[in-house]
Amino acid sequence: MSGQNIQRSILCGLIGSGIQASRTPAMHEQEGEAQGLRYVYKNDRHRPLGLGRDLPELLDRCPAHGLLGTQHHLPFKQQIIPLLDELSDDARALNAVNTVVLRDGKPDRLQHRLQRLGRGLPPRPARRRTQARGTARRRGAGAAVAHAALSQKVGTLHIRDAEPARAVELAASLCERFGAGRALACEDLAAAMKQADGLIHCTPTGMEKLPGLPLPAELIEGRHWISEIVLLPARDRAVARGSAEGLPHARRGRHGGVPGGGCLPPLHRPRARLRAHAAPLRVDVIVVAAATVQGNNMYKHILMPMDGSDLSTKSFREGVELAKAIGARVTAVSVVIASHAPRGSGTSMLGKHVLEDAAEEYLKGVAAIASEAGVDVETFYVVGDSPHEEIVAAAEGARLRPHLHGLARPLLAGRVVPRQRGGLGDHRLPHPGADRPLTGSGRAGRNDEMDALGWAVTAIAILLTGISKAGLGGALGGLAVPFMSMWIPPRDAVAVVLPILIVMDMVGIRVWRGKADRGDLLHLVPAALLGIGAGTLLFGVLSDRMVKLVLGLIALAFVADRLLRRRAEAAASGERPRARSFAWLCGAGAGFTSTLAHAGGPPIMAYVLSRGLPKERFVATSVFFFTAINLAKLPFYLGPSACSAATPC
Amino acid sequence: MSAMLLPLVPVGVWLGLRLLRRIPERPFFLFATWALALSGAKLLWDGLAG
Repeated sequence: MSGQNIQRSILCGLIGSGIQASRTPAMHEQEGEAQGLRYVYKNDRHRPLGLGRDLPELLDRCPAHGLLGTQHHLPFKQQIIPLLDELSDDARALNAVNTVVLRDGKPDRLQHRLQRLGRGLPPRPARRRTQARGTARRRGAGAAVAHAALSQKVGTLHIRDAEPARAVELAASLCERFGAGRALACEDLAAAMKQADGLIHCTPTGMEKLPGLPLPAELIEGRHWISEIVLLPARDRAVARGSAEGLPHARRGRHGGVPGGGCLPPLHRPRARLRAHAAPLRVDVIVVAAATVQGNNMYKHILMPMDGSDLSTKSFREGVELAKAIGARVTAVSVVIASHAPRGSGTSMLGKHVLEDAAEEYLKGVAAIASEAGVDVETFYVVGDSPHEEIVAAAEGARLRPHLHGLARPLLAGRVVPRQRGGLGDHRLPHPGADRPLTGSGRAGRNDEMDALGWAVTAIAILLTGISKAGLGGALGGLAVPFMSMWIPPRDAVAVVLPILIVMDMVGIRVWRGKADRGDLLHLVPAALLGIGAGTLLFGVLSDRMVKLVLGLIALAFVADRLLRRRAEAAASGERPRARSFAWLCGAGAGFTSTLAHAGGPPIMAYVLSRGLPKERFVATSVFFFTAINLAKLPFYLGPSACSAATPC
Repeated sequence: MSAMLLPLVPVGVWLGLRLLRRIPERPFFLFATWALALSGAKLLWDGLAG
């Protein structure tokens, strides 16, 4: 076999995450072939690396596999650095490594090994000794390309970044290395493009996963030279745009592996060849659109807690700009704290609803801001005592929602999020307490129309309520609104159900007229009125969560007691004498808990069950009692916040 | 919307009355007791989960 017939063979490794579609191996192999090298890139596509934990082990294995070098993609461009013995100046400047040459200790050992390979000799076992020649992402590929561009033909580089501060930082770093004035942070992209001879596009925009252009298409002119590091698809929109403008130089560059040493030593010449693409163009100004935020695209859904202040509105605007730039959607959430409602003169309950309305209005304005910017937005407010917990819960709900559909959504996510899209017009933010956190109600507010599911659920809830009121003494009547609230917001549920409940109460009275236990009602109703008064005064002072907790425990304790005594009671079945004190306790408790926690049913159920009344009198007494306390609460429902008020019992 | 759903009121009441007449006394109160337990459990859950 003659020496001329022996192809020099170079085996390189490509290390990275999500690199299966990378065209780097093919490009380098083709270039190797052009040089008479058998240049093989080995892509470990079957065993993805786990955040660099396997990197030392992988490097140790390289010599055994005959690898002479490795090329590193994200996220290993920085992780490889601590494992290296030497760093090139470029790599040190960029704090990132693209290509690692494996040596056995001497600087020229690689060439020697390559010569041995060229002669058909097996490579000696190589100890991991490295020299980084590559560059890449300290602040994204744009930084590497900027260094490379300035080290070659570029006179002045205008740097554009989604984060202006980052562009300024990179420009300062470049000027320090290449001289003052060589790099500028680009503030006016249109003006820079008018000056520029070409454009180097360094964001992943245009790739399959991130379609589009990194800049307005009209800024690209036919005279511009365009190069980019977008690898897939083979022809992206920027290049297509350039071609459409009659641009002869619109092409795909490989700046990530060009200057600064993206290739192993034997491939220096192709680097020169690649550089030659730019050489005849005498590029004086290049705009680098380096937006690594776009590239990362890690913010797909941004949750923005809002407190109604000017500062939070300003922050929201910034967040919307960010979301627009990176194609994310936005969720704005406000927490309504009941204890912040104005108190006194029995207005606390209404005060809470005033704050709810303020939150809703505020969020409408916020939604309008986002809609006007063309950003997908959803807004909602939650009621709670602890804003940070509510915000975390909202974030968890926001994570869940995209994966939930249909009936599972409200059941699992626990919240219904109102979507507010565009067309809201009013950008004023009428929150009454500008610097005070918003406070609020219900699980969520909702402003859009009820859909078919809402209608169906409401119809079922009304039927159940009717059956319960007429046939079961309201045993299940209290579940109607909570049942509906799993699909539609409580405010909507109450608004729809309230008039129907009033009619239903009237029908119930008509049906059960004369059959209720008057003696019981004479104790229960006045007590309930006292309970409603006490509840109104203490609204916002006591946590409804705590009230529900205590009431739930009492109800369960009563049931347990009743079930345990059932045998004894069965022996002495029949109506039991009225216990006045218990009647007053249960009546007041029903009014109180109905006002505070929309849960007046359990206390009154406990009382009438304890009485051992015949079932007809049981139902009739319950119907009359609930009608009475609903009428007593009616002024609250018909007040300024009308249907946003508490749920009827 | 409430007005459109009003016809469901007499339907619900009628169904409830029929149910009441059909259910014997003892199962009725047993059901009411368990309905109270259900309400108590839901309140407890609301109180704990917020």
